[in-house]
Formats: sequence, structure tokens, C-alpha cells
Amino acid sequence: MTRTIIQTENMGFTYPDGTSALQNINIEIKEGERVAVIGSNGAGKSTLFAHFNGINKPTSGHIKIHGKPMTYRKEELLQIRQKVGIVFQNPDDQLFAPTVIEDVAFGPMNLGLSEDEVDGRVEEALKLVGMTGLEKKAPHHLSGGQKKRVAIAGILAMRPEIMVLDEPTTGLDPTGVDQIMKILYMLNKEAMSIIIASHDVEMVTQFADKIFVLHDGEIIGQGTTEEIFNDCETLYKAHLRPPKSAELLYMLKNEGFPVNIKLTVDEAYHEILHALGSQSYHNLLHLVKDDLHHKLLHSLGEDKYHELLHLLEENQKDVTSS
Amino acid sequence: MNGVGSVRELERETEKESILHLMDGRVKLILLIFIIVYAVFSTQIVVLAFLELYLLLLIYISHVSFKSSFKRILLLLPFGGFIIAFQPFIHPGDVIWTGIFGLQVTQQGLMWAVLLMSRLIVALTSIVLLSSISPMQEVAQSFRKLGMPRELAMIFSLMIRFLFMFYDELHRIMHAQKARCFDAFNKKIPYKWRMKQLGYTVAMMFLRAYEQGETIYMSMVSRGFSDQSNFYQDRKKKLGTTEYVYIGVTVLLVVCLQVLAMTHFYELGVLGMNII
Repeated sequence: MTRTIIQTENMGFTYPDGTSALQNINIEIKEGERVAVIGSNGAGKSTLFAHFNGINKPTSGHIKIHGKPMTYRKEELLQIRQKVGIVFQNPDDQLFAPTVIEDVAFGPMNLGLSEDEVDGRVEEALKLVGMTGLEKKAPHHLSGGQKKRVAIAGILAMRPEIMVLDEPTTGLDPTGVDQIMKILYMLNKEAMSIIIASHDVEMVTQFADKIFVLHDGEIIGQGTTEEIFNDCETLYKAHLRPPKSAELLYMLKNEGFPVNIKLTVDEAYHEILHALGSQSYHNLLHLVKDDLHHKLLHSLGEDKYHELLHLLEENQKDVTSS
Repeated sequence: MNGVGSVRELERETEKESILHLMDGRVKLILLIFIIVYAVFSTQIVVLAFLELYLLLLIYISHVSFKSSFKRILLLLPFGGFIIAFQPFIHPGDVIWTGIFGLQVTQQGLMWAVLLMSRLIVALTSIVLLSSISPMQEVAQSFRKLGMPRELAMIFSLMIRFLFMFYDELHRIMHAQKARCFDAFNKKIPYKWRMKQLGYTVAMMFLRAYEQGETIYMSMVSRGFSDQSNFYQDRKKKLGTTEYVYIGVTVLLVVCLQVLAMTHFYELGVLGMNII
């Protein structure tokens, strides 16, 4: 049975100036889960994350780690911060040591580990994020993506059970995004739970298997990726938009077309093909001058072509799941 | 050369490859401090001249640009030079020149000023050389390895890291101002207004530094930071032959200079004379 790592019960947080940042938060994160907290700017995502390792203390309700309510004692906090690693949104907020190696070693040093153990963990963490060989580099010589990877390595070196990342892909180019996502998939494969905060719904669709929608400090929706993105009303209420493909299908559905909401472009493509029928689809290919699909359609015939699309879809699913 | 440019230029110098660049940071630091201390206690100009020649030789060996080194020395000279400039007029001794308002230059005062200037030049050359062959992070590491108190070492390391970040920040603010045609030296715009804008820039830098400080502290706490926290120290590097040769040559030079200073340099006249 998978264990629950983080659980909050009616948790709320109000800043000393009286600003209410979080209200009535009830969430549960289990071992090995990929969770996303989505919400617009100022929704309270970063404030929520600061509760997960005891930086912020709830002003109402409580938070449990491995079923035990947090007591905020010094020794306990050190243990919790080792278990729950937070990667900040801006890597410049996290990388404060003059060299990469010193920064990555900072966490393990605070755990009071032996020097050999620290060396081993630093080496391992840098290898995991593909930054071996850059140990002596100064952080200001690194690119945005590299800084992010070093920030992740700094947390990995503490060997956490759960990794919390605030906007992990913000400000990165597509290659940088791919590299970060690959690292997160790899860590998750090794049973590490990952929580990300983002308003990049396209990325969240691909990554998360459980989503919380946060708006004005409250959870206004939670469920699987399909459940959340099929509920466009909640998304619009949180000032978010569904993925482009889902938005298009949502519009078609509202116009009376017999389509289901699909979250990726490939799935949406196939769904539209079903809805339009082969002849209309054939006409559409003429219209968009798609040679490849057109040739396939002619050479295979409509039925076999359709079958091919199904096979490709199955294959795609296998690749993603493996 | 503006501040941003000079920091980057200095960084480029530290990235060059030479025997001196590759040496252990502690050796570089201790030997250059050793030279500065010896220079401060030397009372003969000829000793300082030899030390300066040795430093110039080291600059040559380390492939550091002479031009940029001299430029940096010249930039730093006025700080001490200002005090030295008064010495010929205030030091008692044999008057060699009398000017207006009864201003008098004494021979002893003049020699004292030359000695101080020579010491200053040797000290500045040492600092410029050290900063050109050792990246700042290496200097911080060396200080820590040599037993600098934990709190000071941490402040020093943080300062190095964020010095560059705030230079970048300043650069961005200046870019944004330039993009909207701001020029601090544009005489067509009221002086008071221009000063106000520069004031805003400085205030903005302070505000951003404050905010950044808060977030950095949070991120440090997230990784278990406490009043007992220590920075990591690279233990792998051990002193090699080049380090021992460098130590040997420098110590031998100082010993020889001291022996010559006590036995032969007085024969050189003004240059070898003890100035007290």
C-alpha cells in the first residue's frame, strides 16, 4: 500500500499584517505520485509550498508528514527539510555559494554528514542532473537551465523522499524544459514523489497524474488530469485556460459536436477525425495540403488508414508509459 | 571602464591558464601577503624595487595583461597617494625648497614620500596580481581553509556570489533607463531631475537586495541552515612541486634581499639608504 507523505487538514495561513493567503486546504500526497498545483499568479502556490517543509507555520488547521503532525521543533524541522526538498522558482534565490560544488554540498553539510559522504552525495547529485564536470564553475557563469539543474542537484544531495518545485520550467527554452522534465520523470521512476506548481497547463497535462487547482488561497478543484481539464468552468474561475487541444474540443462540444475532451494534440487530432468522418477529413487534408497523411490515406484506404492512427495512438501510449 | 566592465574583465584574467593560475589558492594568498608585509617593513627603496621587479616577472609568467594591471594600479594609487602627497611638506628635516605661503619641502620628507609610494606600489601590484590569478571564489576558499572564522567566511562567500548578481541587476536597470533615452550627463535635462533618477536607481538596488536577501535566507533554511552551518571545503587538492618551487623562490628572494639590505645595499647611496 502506498504511504501518504504529506497531508494537510483544514490548513490556513494568514500573514502577520492580516492578509489571508490560504484557507481550508485539504490535500494528500502519496509516495511516488506526480502532483501539480495549478493556479494563477498570487493564488498562494508558493505560500502553500513553504508549509511543506516548515518554513511557514499554519495559522489554522495542521499539516502531517508521514501521518505525524508537524511540531516545528528544531531537530524535527531538520529531518523534515531532509525529507521534503523545495526547489525555488528563481535559481538565483537558491544558489548562493561561490561555486557549484559548494552549493550542492550545502544541504548535506547541514545534515552533519561525514566529508566522504558529502563528496559522494555531491558527485551523485551532479551526475543525476548531468552537471558533472562543472563543479568549480561560479553560478553566474551558468545558463538558466544549468542553474535550475544545479538547484535541483542541491536538493537531491539531501536525498529527499519528496521534491517540491515551484514553477520548474519558467524562463527556460524548450530544450531546458525537456531536460528538467526528463530529470523529474527519472526521479519519479525511482519512487520519489514530485509536486510542481505551475500555470503552464500544457506541461502539467503531460506530467501530472493528480492536480489541485488553487485560487485565492483555496483549493477549488482536485482530481486526475482528465477530470480537471474536462472541467473548464473551474479552470476559467481560477484564471487559467485548458490546453489548446482541450479548449478546441470544448468549443466543438458546446456547438453540439460528438467529441470528448482530449488533452494532447495527437489525441485531439484523432478525436476530430472520428467526429468529422473520413470524407470530411479527406477534404480537410486537401485544404491544409498535408501530403504525408494524404498519401497514406490514398495508399491504405480509409479504413486501414484509420486503423493505422489507432495503432500509432496505442504505440504512443506504450512509449509514454514505459 | 565602468564597474560592470572592470569586474568582468578581471574575471577573464582569472580564467587564463598559467602555472600561477593553477597553483593552490592558499599558497598564492600567503605568499602575496608575505611580500606585502615584507614591503611594509622595508626601509630601503632598492629592496622595494627588487620586489616590484619580482612581481612584474610573476605577472609576465601568469600571462596577465600588463596594460590592464597598470591601469588597475593607477586607479587604486590615488587612495594612498593622497596621504603621501603631504609628506614632503610636513616631515621635519633639511629644507630643499621654499614656496609660497612659507611652504617648505624637506629632503627627509621627500625621501619618506618616495619610500611610502614604493611600498604602496608593491602592495597594489601584489593585490592586482592576486586578484588576476585567483578567482574570487578561490580566494574565499583559501581564507576558509586558512581558518577564517565561520561567520566571516560565510559573509565573504555570499558577498562574492551576489556581487556579480547585483552587477547584472544594475546593468539591467541601466539598460532599461538607456532604452528610454536616459543619460545622466545630458545637460539639456535639469540636473536635479537627473540626480533624482540616479537616486531611484540606488534605492531600487537596495530594495531588490533586501528582497533577495529574504528569499535566499528562506532557501537556505529549506536546506537545513542553522547557526552551526558550515561551508563545504575541497580537501582533494594537495601541494605539488610547482607550489613548493614558488614558495622556495619567494622565500629565498626575501632572505637574500634582507641579507643584502643589511650588508651591501647601503653602498648604493640614496637607493640603499635606510629611511626612517
